[in-house]
Amino acid sequence: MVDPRTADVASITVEFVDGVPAGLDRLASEHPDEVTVMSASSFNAADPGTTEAVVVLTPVVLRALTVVVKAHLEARKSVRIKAKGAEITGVSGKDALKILAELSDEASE
Amino acid sequence: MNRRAIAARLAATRVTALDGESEGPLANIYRRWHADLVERLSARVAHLPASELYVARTANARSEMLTGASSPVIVHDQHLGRTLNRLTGYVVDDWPATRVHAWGFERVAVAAYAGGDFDACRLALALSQTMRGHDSPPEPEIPPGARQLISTIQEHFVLAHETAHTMLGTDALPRVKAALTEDVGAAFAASVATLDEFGEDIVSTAARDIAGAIGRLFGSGKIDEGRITALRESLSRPAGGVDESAWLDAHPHLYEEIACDLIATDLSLEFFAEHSTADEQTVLPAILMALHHLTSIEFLDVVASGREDLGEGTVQAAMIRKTAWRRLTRERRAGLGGLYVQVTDDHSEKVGDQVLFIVPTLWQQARDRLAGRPRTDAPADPSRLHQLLWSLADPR
Repeated sequence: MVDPRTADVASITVEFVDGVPAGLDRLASEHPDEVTVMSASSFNAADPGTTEAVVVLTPVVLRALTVVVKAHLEARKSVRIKAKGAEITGVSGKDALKILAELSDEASE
Repeated sequence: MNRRAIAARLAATRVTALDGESEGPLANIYRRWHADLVERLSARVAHLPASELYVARTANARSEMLTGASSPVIVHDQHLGRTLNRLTGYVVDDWPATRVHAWGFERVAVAAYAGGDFDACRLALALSQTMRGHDSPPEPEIPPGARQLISTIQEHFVLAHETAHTMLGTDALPRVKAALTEDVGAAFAASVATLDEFGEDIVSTAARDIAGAIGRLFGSGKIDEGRITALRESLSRPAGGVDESAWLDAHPHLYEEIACDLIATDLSLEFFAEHSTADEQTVLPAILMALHHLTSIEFLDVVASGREDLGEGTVQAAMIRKTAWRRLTRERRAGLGGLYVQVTDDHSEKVGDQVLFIVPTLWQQARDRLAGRPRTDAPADPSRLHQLLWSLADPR
């Protein structure tokens, strides 16, 4: 069953906590139309911004992104995934990969 | 930076229904301001790094700077302007506190949604609706044009702040820190001296104001006084005072924020001197009020997150920025110190105390009451909430 939080999503951001993963820049250069790496800092934030990948969803890029996210998680670092203005909560380890797989399935349809 | 990527990012991280940039007369004013700011900065520094402006409209009311492989992009949120205008109205037109609470819960709702807590979002929207029904808006106390000028200055300052970041570049921190450490240290020393002299009076006055606000709103017995006291104590300065310089050294990115506040202040003073009759006595208090507004906005985001540790850090960071700004700008003209005190007192009474103390207390009470009850309603519908929140930024 499709999680309602991931239904009809056209783009997501994956925020990489505790450092930028190896392979992210390569992913962006191989998929320039779908992946953009940027960092954001807000006027009033008490903490400096973090680096994130903005991903326009296609099955190919989601599969490639999953490899990068998996490596980041295996290094005991975490990610935050956002879609349609909301963080997809409860995301850690397997959950993150499951959600990416679910999005990938949807993008294939 | 690819504007399609920016739109994709906003669609993923914000509550918006726009699939591109905001258009219209207001967006065009921001673009003219940005071009003007770039020109003014180019006159100050050689080889000013290029920057772009992207005008957004989102319920999140958040301006930010995006950096990537190409030139930085300032995302200026049109709804932040409306929010600053609204908060300024609460202060200068003496709106009922319940309307401030209604706004506060709207803000909590947006932040709860952003954090993925849809039940909390729904609860906050319900509380906002309830609060809105308590009182009517007042007749404006000052002419609408005067309030608009204050809000215009505030918005210009926010855009100038972001543009100043692009001037400093990505590796500015060591230079900025070296340039500011002495001045900011002197500002903190003066601040501590003031607190030593007047600290007890300040705390007593704040306590009285808060107690008065609670009494006016709820009468007796309707609010958890113990929680108010605990919140007040957690936000007050511990004995001996916080070492602001040490705190700043532990959070060095704030040096850059302080530098950009000061650069933006100069730019806004220059702009409004040329384009209006507003002088330092109008522009500087308006900017200070904007800094207070932004603290309130940020604090409510933290309330929604439920993380009290972040709350203290947010308040501390805001206090440090404002202390440095006040001390480094008040010498420009005699009498500014008194105006700053007045702005701060007005803001605390009308908005600041409500946001820091009353809204979090009511929020916690509502959450606690619901926590033990068996669930009878359907789960919150994220799509419906998205529509409701978007209507806040798109009130057609």
